[in-house]
Amino acid sequence: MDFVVPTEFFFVLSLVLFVLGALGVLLRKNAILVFMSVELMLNSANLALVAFARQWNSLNGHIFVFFVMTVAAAEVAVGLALIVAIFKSKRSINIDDLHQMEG
Amino acid sequence: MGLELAFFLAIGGLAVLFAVGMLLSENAVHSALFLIGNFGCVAMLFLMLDAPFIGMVQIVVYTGAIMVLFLFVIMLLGAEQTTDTDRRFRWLTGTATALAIAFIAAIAVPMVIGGGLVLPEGQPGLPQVRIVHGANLDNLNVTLTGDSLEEPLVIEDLAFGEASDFIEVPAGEYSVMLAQAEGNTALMPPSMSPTISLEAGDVFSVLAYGTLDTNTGSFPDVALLPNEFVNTPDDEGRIVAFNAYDQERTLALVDLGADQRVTVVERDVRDEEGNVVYAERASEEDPLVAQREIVIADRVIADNLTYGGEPVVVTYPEGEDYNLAVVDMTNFDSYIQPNDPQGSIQDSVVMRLTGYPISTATEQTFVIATEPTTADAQPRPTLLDSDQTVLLIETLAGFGSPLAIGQILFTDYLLPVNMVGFLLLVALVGVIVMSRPAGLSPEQKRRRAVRRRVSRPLVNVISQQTGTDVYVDVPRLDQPESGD
Repeated sequence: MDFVVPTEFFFVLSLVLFVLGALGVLLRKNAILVFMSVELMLNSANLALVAFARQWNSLNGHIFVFFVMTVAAAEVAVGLALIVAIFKSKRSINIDDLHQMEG
Repeated sequence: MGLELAFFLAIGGLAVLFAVGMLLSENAVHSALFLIGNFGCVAMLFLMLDAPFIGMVQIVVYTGAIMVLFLFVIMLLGAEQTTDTDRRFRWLTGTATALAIAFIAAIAVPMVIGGGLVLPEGQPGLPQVRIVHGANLDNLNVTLTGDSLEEPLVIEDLAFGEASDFIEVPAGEYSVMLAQAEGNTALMPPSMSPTISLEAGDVFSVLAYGTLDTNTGSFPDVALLPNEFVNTPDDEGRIVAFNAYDQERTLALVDLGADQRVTVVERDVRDEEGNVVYAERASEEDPLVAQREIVIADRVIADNLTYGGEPVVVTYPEGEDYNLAVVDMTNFDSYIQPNDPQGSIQDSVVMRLTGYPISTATEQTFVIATEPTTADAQPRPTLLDSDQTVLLIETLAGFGSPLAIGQILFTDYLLPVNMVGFLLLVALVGVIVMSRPAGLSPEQKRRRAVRRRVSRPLVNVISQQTGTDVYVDVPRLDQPESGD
């Protein structure tokens, strides 16, 4: 099947977004920003899944994206609750202040 | 450059810019807003990729719920300023960026130069067939034999109008043997058996039609009606029409509309001098009736249905109660031939169907067959599966539509859906547990209150000096705590 915008383009775009998200996880010190970068990575994976679902003309990719979104929602709820709890005890969400395990 | 490609480049570029903005922004609120923009762009890309449902869920769940939660937490903690004070790993920024660019280049450049990914198409599955009995015969035993089958596939005692389930068979050539169920006597010599050829991905109804007439040497035959499980257009149902009734005439399936219009106009036809043409029909009582006109000005659903000819596959808008008619095509918009003054109006309408439903995401195999009769009575037409229970196929709705995803989600993926629901429940409980204020049991509260009342300063001194907590056991006081 030939598409006007080939699947490769979407794949490269999702790759770029994923790498940007990974950079955010590595470089930012704010726990909330690290978390947002993780969301960006999940989303870029979703983009690749949907692009390949169109390539294969199979809805399983869409279903998978749906599950990823559901799990992401659960993960955000728990993660943000964790961040709030950490902020309550440490008065900071800078991840460099949170090193409990030295090494 | 096509409009769609330009749109992709614009939206994709915007998405990357938003992601970079999120990465570099000093203010966490700005980062969150950039991320919302990025998610909006990705939602539009989902729409481009024939995934309208996922696109909408992306907007509702991600940009709506999740990002609002992020903004809420940022505001709650007062963590807007994210200037990274500690710069112990300053070298990391440059290294990571360089590695990231190298990584993207290493994957993307060969892909663009080398002509893209090697993406295989979806593999078609095994051919699927079902046997349908539409012949002017009693119950049948149908046997499929072929080189690719180890054992012949036998469908036993199939009554008229019934169909087997869809059966997966290997691709290949098959010979279809028809036998009378009673006594299992073959209806034709094996050499006369019809053969069918099935390829991967085919879905067929194998329809047995015709009759056995030893005088004229006519045998029942087999027709392949193409079926499909996927993708009827929105708000349309698919019909596979086939004529197994009328050997002489070409039939058509027409939609008569709400007023059930097969208009029969009876009027006199006179020649130029004003004489009634059809004298033999003009009687004293009814002198003017001479000719009938059949007017079918309505929509034709399927036409050119010749006996045993090509099945006609059409889609037609959904509706609850269509008034359909199977008519003789030769009488379309035309006067009945003068040599047939009686006018075979009743004959030209082969069959009337009132209240016939056509629903979206379904495919109806529409076979006009001859009703089996024992005596030499006039053959009567009948529609196989007129109540739409046997031959109706529920197709998947449009690719990526909510209906299609719902169909898969609640059939094939029912267990994962339940598990994800349970996961959300666990997350809910987890969040409640975590956000609860540091809890003390009632016993601990009582002890603390007692300790405070009796010897708090002393306990503080002791515990500061020894580094351990001190517990003073005092008999429980009966007075209420409000007296504190």
